[in-house]
Formats: sequence, structure tokens, C-alpha cells
Amino acid sequence: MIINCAIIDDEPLAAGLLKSYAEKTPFLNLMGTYGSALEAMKELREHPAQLLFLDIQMPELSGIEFAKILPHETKIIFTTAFQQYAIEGYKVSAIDYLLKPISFDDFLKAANKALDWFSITQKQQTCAKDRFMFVKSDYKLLRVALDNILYIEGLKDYVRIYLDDGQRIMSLMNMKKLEEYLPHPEFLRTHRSYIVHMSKAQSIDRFRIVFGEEYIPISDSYKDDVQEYFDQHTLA
Amino acid sequence: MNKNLLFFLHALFWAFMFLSPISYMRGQGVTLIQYLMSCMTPLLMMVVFYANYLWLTPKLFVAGKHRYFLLVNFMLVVCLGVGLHYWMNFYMELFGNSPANRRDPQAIDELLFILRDIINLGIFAMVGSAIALAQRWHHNEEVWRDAQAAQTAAELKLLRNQINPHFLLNTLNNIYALTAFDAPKAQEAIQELSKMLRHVLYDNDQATIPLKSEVEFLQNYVNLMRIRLPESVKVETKWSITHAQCPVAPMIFISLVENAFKHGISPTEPSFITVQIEGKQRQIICNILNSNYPKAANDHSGHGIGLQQVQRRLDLAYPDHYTWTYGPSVDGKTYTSRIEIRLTE
Repeated sequence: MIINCAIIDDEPLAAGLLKSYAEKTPFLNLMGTYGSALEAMKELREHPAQLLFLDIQMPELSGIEFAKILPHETKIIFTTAFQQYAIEGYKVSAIDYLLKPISFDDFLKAANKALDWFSITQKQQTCAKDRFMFVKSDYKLLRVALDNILYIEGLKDYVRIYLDDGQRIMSLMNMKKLEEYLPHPEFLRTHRSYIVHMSKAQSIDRFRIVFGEEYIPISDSYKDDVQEYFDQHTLA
Repeated sequence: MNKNLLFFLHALFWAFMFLSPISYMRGQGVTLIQYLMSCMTPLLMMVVFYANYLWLTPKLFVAGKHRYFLLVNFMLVVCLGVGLHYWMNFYMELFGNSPANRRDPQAIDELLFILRDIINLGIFAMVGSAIALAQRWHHNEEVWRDAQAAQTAAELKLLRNQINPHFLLNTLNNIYALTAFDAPKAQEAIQELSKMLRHVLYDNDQATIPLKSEVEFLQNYVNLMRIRLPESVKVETKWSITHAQCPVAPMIFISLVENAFKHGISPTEPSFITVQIEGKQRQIICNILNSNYPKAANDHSGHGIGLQQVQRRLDLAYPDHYTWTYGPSVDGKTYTSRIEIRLTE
């Protein structure tokens, strides 16, 4: 996977250093280096970048202000010499925040975070569109159609997928990753150990989700999401 | 006011008050005992005055016990006033020097006379209290002014010794980047930064330093700022110093140069900064000209201390010996700041 990125920094040397780092990083494709947010805005409108390395302290339009007007799909890694901007930076949901001077090590770590984010999003989109996924099970890759899944139970290092034909698939995977891949809110985490395919639920009994003989608990920490789903789908 | 002078004034006043009874005792054989008895009036005035001046005002009024203060004063003045009246009646009867045609006093007259004595004493009470308060206020004013002066001095020292942390961090970051591309230039920059730090930490403790070292400091600053800016920005310095040892108050011009970099550079439009300093025998002229791209007030890239502080420093270092003009040009495209200092001996 290749990520298209751009660098915005008003100081040419700082921008130059980041440029050299980006060129060294195999999964980054540098689209351009800009000396100001206004200059970048013109270019990026026509050829949007997926990832921006964005300096915060710049004349005319600061990095934070610029970030607020960017489309949601564009992800940001802030770069600045001043810690006090960090909190503001996280408010605009940046992937990471780099304190200058930036070493290649720091740069690479942040770029990898971005890579993780983009690969998850990509898989999520593919999964939602194609309505199936492959899971590893006993040295095989098994095709699982999303429509056949009832719910998923998390065990220590692996998960057990319950299908509507009574089949159970064991796979070495963690719940968090699986939750991220599966389309939301069609699949909802209801408990630390359960992800439920909500449209397949047969009934709700004393705030537990019923699949035949099985009762899936809903824990406090996931209660709000589940409640919201029910509220949206209940005729009263 | 001087302590001795104050004592002298008090003594003079009371001497006058104590001598005044003589004036209305026609010279017809005044005895010492008669005079001493008539001194009761100034004596009681003195008691009321000093009771207020030394005790009631500082201990009660200033301490905020206003009601208590009024009550004690009222009792004091009324008791002494009534006492004084009867004392004087007794005196009159004893020496009988009252006018012959004096009619017998009636109750209403008696009351008026008592009231007069009370009011007389009351006036002394008020004056004593007023003087005590005025002196106290004056003293407080002096203490406050001293404190203010000490604070200003401390503030100035702090300002002089402060290097803008934004400048320092940004410069370090640029030097870091420079090491990757141009090691010799990075070395140069580090040298320049250490010269600047040395200047800020050690050289500017004195009230004045030679113009030469201040100019070197400015040159270092400009050079370090230069590496942070795009090639397209024109930065120029012109030093014409005929008297290098000319004394100058440190760290005044730097604020103006900082401002020029802050408000003179646009990331997209052509920009320039020119810093000129002339040092003659009796005159120093600092002239800074830059393209004008004013920044929003919430920008924090500068010292944030601003022009007021420059004004204050100039006022302290060169009272009435300088002119400072600044402002944008008519078309708003350039900004000039010019300080002319006339040096005295």
C-alpha cells in the first residue's frame, strides 16, 4: 500500500528535512512540499493528499486552522517545536504529533501509525462492499460471508465465529481488529467478549440478545451504542 | 518631611498658642498665676490635638475602628469642652476682669458658650487627625513608589536576560535540519547561536555596552533568522559605525528587528527587511525598513513584549534624548521604524 502525502512548513530547512525523510520511506509517495497553507490549499484541491505533515506555527493560516477546513478523509501528522499546541492538535483528531527537531525514527513511527490507519480503513471498506472476508483457521483461509454471521465470541487469543447454519469457525485473531474491520453499526460490540450481527438478533430479553438457546450479554461499557441501535430500529 | 523641621513647626505653633492669652489680658498687672490658669485653653487644645495625632488616628481610625474612633473623640471633646467652660467661669469669678456691664448669663447663653468651646476643641481634633492621615498617606505613597521602582528594575533585568524561547527552539530545529544537508553551515550557525547566548547571558548586564558588540549581536540574530527563511526573502544589514566604542543600552534594537521579521515576511508575496545602524560620535541612528504584512494579534511567534516595552526602555535609558518614529508607509506596503539617540557626555 502506498500513501500519497504532502508536507507543509514555512521554514524551508525544516520542510527539506521532512522531504528527505519522506523520500526514504518506501510506502510514502510525496506529492509536494509547500511553504504555506494557502499555497497547499490550491494544489491539494485538485490532487488531494491522503496524509499531511503539517507545521502548526505558520504565518497567515496556522496548521490547526488549516486542519479544520480540510476534508475528513485527509489525515494529519502535526509537526511543531512547541508542546503547548499538542492538546489543540489532538482536538482536530490528528494521527500523531511530532515535536521538532524530528528524527527519522520519530518520523517513521508516525508514518507507520498512518499506514496502519489507512490499511484498516481500506480493509474495512473492501469488507463492507464485498460482504465477505477471509479468516485464517487451521492453516486454511476460509471464506466467511458477512450475511451468514450471527455473532462472534472472543476467547483468549482467538475468536469463534457463529454462523446461521450452526457452523462455528475458530480463528487466531483479536476482537479489537475484527471490530474495526466489520461494518459499523451492522456489527456491534456488546461486551468485551462479544460482537453481534445486530440484524440477525432474534429477540431481546431483559437486555440480553437472544440467538436460539444462546443469550449474549450487554455490558455497561457498550450499553449506549447498543441502546442507540435498538432505539433506531424499534417501532413504538 | 525632615523630623527636626516637623518638631520645630509643632513647637512654634504651640508657643504661639500659649502666648496668645497675653494678648487679651490688658497689661494691668497680670500675675503669673492668672496667666497660667488662662493657659488651660491651649493646653486642652494640645491634649485633643495630640490625642488624635498620635493615638486615636493611627490606633483606631487606620485600624478601621471608625465608630470607636468617633465615640472616643466625641466623649473626649465634650468632657473637656464642658470642663473648660466651668474652669473659665471659675477664672472669671476669681479675677473679676469681666466687663462691668456684663449681664447675668442665662441658661441659653451658657449652652452656647459650652458649644463654642466644644467646637473649638473639635476643630483641633479634626486637624490633628487630618494631619496624621495626610502624613501617613504621604509615607505610604513613598513606600509604594519605591516598590514600583524596584519592580521595574527587576522587570527590565528580566527582559534583558530573556531570550525568546520560540526563537531558540526554532533555530535549534533549523540547525538540526542543516546538519543533514550542509554541515559547515550548521557549524557556522551553532557558533553564531553561542555568540548570541553569550551576549544575552553575560554581556548585557551593564547599563550600556559598546555599540560594536550590540551590532554583532544583531548581525548574529539576523544571520540565524536568515537560514529559516526562503531564498526569495531579501534580508540586508548596513552598519556604518565610525565610533565603535559608542555606549548603547543593550537589547533595545533587537525588539524592533524581531518585529520586522514577525510582520515583514509573507510566505507567498515578495518580502524584504533592511536593518541599518549608524554610529557617530554623539548620535546613534537605527533605521529598520521592511515590507508590511501585519500579523494577527494572537500570533505568538515573537517576544510578545512589544513596542510599549521599547518605549519604556528608551525612556529610562535616554530620557528626552531620543526620537522614535514608526509606522507603515502611506500605501501600507512598507513599514519603517527609526530611532535616533543623541548621546550626552
